[in-house]
Amino acid sequence: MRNKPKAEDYRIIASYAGRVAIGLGFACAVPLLAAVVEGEWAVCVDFVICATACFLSGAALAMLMPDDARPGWLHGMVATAVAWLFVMALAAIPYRLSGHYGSYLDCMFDAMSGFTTTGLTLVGDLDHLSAGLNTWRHVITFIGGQGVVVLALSFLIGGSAGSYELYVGEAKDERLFPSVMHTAKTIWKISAVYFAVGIAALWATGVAIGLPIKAAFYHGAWIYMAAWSTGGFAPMSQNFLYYHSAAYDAVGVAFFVAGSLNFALHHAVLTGNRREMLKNVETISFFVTFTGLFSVIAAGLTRAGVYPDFVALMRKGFYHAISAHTTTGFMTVAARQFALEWGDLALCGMILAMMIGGSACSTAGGVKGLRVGGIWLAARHETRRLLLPAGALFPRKLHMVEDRFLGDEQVKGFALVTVLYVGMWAMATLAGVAVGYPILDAAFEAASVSGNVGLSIGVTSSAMPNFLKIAYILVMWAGRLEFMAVLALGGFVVSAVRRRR
Amino acid sequence: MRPLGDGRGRLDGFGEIVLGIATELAYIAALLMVGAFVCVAFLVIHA
Repeated sequence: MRNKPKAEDYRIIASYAGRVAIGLGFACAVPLLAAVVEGEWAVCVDFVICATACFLSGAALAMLMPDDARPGWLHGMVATAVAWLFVMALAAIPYRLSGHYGSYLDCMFDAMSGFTTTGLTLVGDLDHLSAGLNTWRHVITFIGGQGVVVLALSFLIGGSAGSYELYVGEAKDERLFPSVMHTAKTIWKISAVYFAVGIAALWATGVAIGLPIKAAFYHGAWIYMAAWSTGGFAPMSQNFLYYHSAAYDAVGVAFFVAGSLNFALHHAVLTGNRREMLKNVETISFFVTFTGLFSVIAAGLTRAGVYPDFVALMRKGFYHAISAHTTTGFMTVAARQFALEWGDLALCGMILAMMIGGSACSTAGGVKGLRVGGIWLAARHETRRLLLPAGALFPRKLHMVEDRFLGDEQVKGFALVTVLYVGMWAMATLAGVAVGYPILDAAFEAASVSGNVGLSIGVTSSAMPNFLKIAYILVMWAGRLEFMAVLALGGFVVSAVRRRR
Repeated sequence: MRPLGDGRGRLDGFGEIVLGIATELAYIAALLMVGAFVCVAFLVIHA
């Protein structure tokens, strides 16, 4: 049993959370700029209030760091879990001040949905949201995709003691370089490269399909941030259906698939190791599972006769299958069409696709291709071991930028996170059923929140019970952090409470 | 824990970046082609 936490432990954790809050304060500059450009002065005040709250609370907490602090694994993990909850509460301030939300809980739901790149929303009258607030929604999705802590590591915390533990706590346990700070900055550089390409491509496509030049720029920027982050937020209530364009759909697909790829893979490919694309365990895993699951979805849709021709099946079936598997959540159908038209087989395929998700160390959620590929390789190895003569030696390896030994500890870790994901999905499904939703609807929405996807079958709305809103917030948070930081926080709280008896 | 990336290259070669993005787009195009093939196959089966 761990010793009772000391005052120093609380101060270290609070200090790190404070620095992350300061980072969020700086991020308020982006929507503030949009609001100033559009002359939305009331919105400007909202963001000044939010930034002030971030700076004041962040600075007060950051000053708590003891002079002789020795941050360890527990501090990094717990600080990450706490920081995500703290920035959720702070980022909700402009939402609440906008008057577009029914309660502060709804605002925090949307903030957590943004940071975790889920994309479910409880906003009212989305079509008349200010440019500033729409920019905020997409900026927090973009920050969440790269990682809230990665942002702070890059610009505020730097290479100080405890930075590696914070980085790992945010479910980005793979590094591109020995230095965590260098890795965090490289993640932002890769996103910056795609930022320039993505906004240019979506802006040009937007103009080509008839959007006014300024609107095309805003939509391009917002959609890029949501696509690259596999977020799923869109500026209009019809989501991607608003654009009614195969070209816009295709450009969006390109950027959200790219966003779902591992940053280590991006780095390898963008620095000349292009053959990695063919050998990487996650690209192979994604290709295989996507082909299989899209076959299931297509079988269900053709059996239901809902999309009778090739173009419709591609633009609806393929689009949503890849949106689900990359955990993006862009939609070109109304939510209830899933329940009323798609049929059980297609929905089961979608649930599995959402659960598997994209790549590790990417902006995507879900179990991740690395774990699916790793577990498959381990299972194949065990089968070969049974079939070959006793004593036969053959390597158990996994290719991720380089060949790596696939040890028992790693396989155990893959299996543990997978089991926790499935368990959390089952619990979230149970929560939905408990408040009265049909089991398939509850299972679909639970897969969407567990995998940080954002596709909705119609369960998520401002009218759903507060119990379910809170449950979904916790599921999005735990799913995004891949449990370890959340379990560390749980253990920390238990050790603090038990000793007080 | 060892770094996952090769840790060698730097993101400063314009040509490498363009070719890298083209490689990733080729992968995405391959997914699109697989999707198209699956669509045709199931439409034929259910025709």
